Amino acid sequence: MERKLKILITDDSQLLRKKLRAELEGLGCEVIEAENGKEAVMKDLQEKPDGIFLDIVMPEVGGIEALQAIREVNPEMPVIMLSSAGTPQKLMETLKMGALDFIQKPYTSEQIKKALAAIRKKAE
Amino acid sequence: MNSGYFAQYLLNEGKITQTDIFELLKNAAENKADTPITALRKGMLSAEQIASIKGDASGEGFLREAGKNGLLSAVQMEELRSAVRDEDLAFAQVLLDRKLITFAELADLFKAYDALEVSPIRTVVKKRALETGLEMEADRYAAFSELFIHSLKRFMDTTVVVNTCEPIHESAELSHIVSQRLLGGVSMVTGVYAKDEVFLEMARRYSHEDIQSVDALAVDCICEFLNVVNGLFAVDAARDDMEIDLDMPRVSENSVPEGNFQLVLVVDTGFGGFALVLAGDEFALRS
Repeated sequence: MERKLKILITDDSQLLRKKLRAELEGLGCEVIEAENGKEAVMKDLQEKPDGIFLDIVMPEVGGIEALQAIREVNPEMPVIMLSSAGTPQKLMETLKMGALDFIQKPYTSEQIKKALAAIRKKAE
Repeated sequence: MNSGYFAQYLLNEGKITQTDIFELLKNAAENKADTPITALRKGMLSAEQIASIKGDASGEGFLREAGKNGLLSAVQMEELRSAVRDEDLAFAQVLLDRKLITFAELADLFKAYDALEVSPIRTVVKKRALETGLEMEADRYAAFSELFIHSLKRFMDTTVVVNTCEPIHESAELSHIVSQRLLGGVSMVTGVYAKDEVFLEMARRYSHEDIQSVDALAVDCICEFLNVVNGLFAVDAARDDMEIDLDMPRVSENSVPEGNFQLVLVVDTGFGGFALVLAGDEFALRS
């Protein structure tokens, strides 16, 4: 039997967190949430998730800064950027910084399944 | 073939008036086109052939008669039976039912509609921008509005038209405005300004959640919708080597937006009207 993955969703949108939580729980994941980059970095340290979905445009600390901070502490952490700001420049910037993938909002269930498979591969 | 903007085309051409539009959109949202109109649109029958069919002029009865007269093949009849709902045709059906149009007129209008090289949304927004003296912004505002309306239809499942008129300045009471600034290659602020009942319906449709009042979740839904549309616009702009960053969305209650290079577009949908506000920089909010 596959191990239950613990996934951290980081997005300031309550709606996005609610929908993505339902999607991930439906795929058998345990889900924790953060509302901004600062909280994401803290939860990464405290909760030790298997993977992170990270938005870019967020209050206090944005996704790019959060990604940088997470990579410094935990270079192997699989991080999937999930943002509306999916320009090629942002894509390149975040992939260079070590993000595993970039999903442009609005996401599809298929994209989330693929991202989760990539996280699982890294986690195991 | 153009799709989804027939109502806008008719409004731009003055075939329908902005006074009628809300009622027509509402009816169209609840309707599906009947067989004759679908056959006309698919080029299976001409207006004259439709007129020649006597007796039952709808559904199975119409198909039976058309088949008997040798106007439709069995394959065509099956295709018509399984036709999915089409927004343009549903709207045309409402016009036919109200005797505002004939099959012959409709055939000509479909032909002209299909020959359009610029989307009717771009046409109306550009015209409104130029009338407002926004020559420099007209193309950009038109491009954004086209994407916005397309997204509105896609995520909120509604027929939409951009009104051709100047907005009527109403009281700001019981309303919300959500806006977001785009920075970098382009400096623009986009906003959705709606009375609470329409704002709430937009939130419900976008989220598919049973939201009962304009609460934090409802506001968040519209912020997220606008954020997604602006993100798609940024991706489009990147194809023209223009990098755009998005600021955090801003929310205000019971205010009227006032900005530089501001264009306020009245957007009518099957569930009500609201304003799409575009400006060159962050707009001030007047109570």
